[in-house]
Amino acid sequence: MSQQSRYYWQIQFAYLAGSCLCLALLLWLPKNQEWLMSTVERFYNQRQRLASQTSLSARLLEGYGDAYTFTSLIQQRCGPDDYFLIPPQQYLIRNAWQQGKETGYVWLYPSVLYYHLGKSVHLIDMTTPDSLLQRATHTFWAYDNKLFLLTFKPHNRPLVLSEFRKYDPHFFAYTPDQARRYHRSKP
Amino acid sequence: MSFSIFFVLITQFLIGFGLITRLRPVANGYSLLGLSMLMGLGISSGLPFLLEFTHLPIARAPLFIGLALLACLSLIGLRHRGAYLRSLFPRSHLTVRLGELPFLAFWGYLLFISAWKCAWYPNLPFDTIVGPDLVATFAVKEHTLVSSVFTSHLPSVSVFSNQPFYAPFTAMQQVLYLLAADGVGPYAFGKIWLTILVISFGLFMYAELRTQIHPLLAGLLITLLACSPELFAYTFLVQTDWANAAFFVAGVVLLQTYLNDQQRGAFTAGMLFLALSCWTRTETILFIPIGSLLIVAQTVAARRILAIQDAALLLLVCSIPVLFWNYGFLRGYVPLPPHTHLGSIHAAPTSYVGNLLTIFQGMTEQVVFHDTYWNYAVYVFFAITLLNLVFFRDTRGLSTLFWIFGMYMLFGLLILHVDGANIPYTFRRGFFKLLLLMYVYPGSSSLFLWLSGWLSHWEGQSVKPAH
Repeated sequence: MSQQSRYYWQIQFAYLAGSCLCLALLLWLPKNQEWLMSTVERFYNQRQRLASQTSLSARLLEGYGDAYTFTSLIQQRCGPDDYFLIPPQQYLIRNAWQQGKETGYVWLYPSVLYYHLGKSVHLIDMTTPDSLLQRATHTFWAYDNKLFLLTFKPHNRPLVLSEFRKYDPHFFAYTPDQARRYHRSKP
Repeated sequence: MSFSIFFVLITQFLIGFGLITRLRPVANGYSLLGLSMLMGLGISSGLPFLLEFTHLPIARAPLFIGLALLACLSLIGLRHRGAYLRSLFPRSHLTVRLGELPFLAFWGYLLFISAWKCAWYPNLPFDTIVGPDLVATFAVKEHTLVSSVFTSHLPSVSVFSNQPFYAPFTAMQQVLYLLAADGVGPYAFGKIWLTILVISFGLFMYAELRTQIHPLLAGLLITLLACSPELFAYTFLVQTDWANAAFFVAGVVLLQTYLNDQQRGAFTAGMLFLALSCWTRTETILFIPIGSLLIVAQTVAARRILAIQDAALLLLVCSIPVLFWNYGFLRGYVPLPPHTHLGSIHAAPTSYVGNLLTIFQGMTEQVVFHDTYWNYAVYVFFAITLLNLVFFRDTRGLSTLFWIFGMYMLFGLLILHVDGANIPYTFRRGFFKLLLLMYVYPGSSSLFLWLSGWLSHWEGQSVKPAH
């Protein structure tokens, strides 16, 4: 090895040591360290738990949680000719908070439901005319702080609609935080 | 990776490679590779519209044929670019030094985490599943861009905001990759384009920095940027903002190359990238006048007519995607539901200055100096700028600072005047553009050029053999 080449490699190794030092210094800074540790830890936990689950349904369930569970339930129980009445979000926040506090029932947003359900059922909400509300076949009903898929029958329809009418149909909490604020407010 | 995804990737790269090689805007091979992929991603997002207007279905076969034809069209005439290509790929330019390896390994590790999360999880952000991914999913299911989302869902619901009407780049990439993945395999959710976009932009930015300043300094800067938690999070959460920032910053860098070297290809490429950034987020058009102003300011003394012509051309070309999407497609081709509000502008409120100052204060406190969004990246930028201005007091890099300052001011006005624009979402994610520009700036600052010169001098001294 010529002397020139030896000097060249000495410089390269000096730079390697320098860049290792600089990188270590940057990652040692408290905020970077904290962020990197939590990012890496979360990633390995997720990978350990999820890497073997490759089916689409497992990935959708993990990603969407309640939204996937409940929209799958609607898909199983309703047909393309059925009408699913989206209950007012306020109603569910007030009456089934424990079940929905993680998401704030943000997944009740009509376009989120349409994203999951598509044309597998007609979606209507409490702003639709009365004539159409009478066609509703299913909705979510809160009982004992839990959510149930309710099939409309002639005897329960007036009761359900009158209960839903107590809540503002135009209200929407777009984030769990907004939903939490509404939950904490006085009824 | 399935063959169809690989095919889409390769054709997108070739589409961009042909065009970028023809324009010759960059002087090193890695920049060319990064820019080619970015340009290919951008141009291919127009293909679903082409299929729609020619009454072809949004399906795999027409799309793949379209991509292949676009790639062939783009590559025609590259025979005479051999000398240019050879000049970009000499061994000395491509060699990666030992000192760069730790940085590359660290970024590679972060990208691995990001890519895995991006591929495994479905689209999660609310704005995406009620916006671009909703539009894309139903376009793919129903083989048309005028899907039931626009024709039956939105007109029938009482509550919806403007996400389905977001500028179309993100939705169109989702269309391409959802079709390529065909609902199966690890990339079934179609999000792999985001990982490709991040890698391509990272390659371009690092390559540009290491040609301007010493690779060790370039490595340090990109590492500081990579340690911005918010910027990192959106490398695997599909939204419009990362792509918007990547196109925008590539456009600004190329426009600056044009202003420095008067290289026409750089101007055209820069203009195309800025137009693509408007194709990704509509409000970006409001920032384009900064570029026009810089063109006029820096070239009017030498070439008055050309300066005004270039400034106007930039504005005009960047307006085309905005007008096409918002007025040609959305209001012309797709009938909008009557109760749609697309970013309506409201008049100046009373106590105008007070309101504006409150917004600037909110932007600074809630986003710019947020405790955990950017870790040290913003503080380091301000320290570098201050040192540079105090010790060197020259005009190098001032135009990048002008972009940053101008955009900050315009974001304030945007939040004040446009319905729905706000600090926690609009400015937080719009800040990606500013943050990336903050790390373009040191590449042209006298401080970093001086430091690079000092390092190179030390290298030169040390390599000299002893006598």
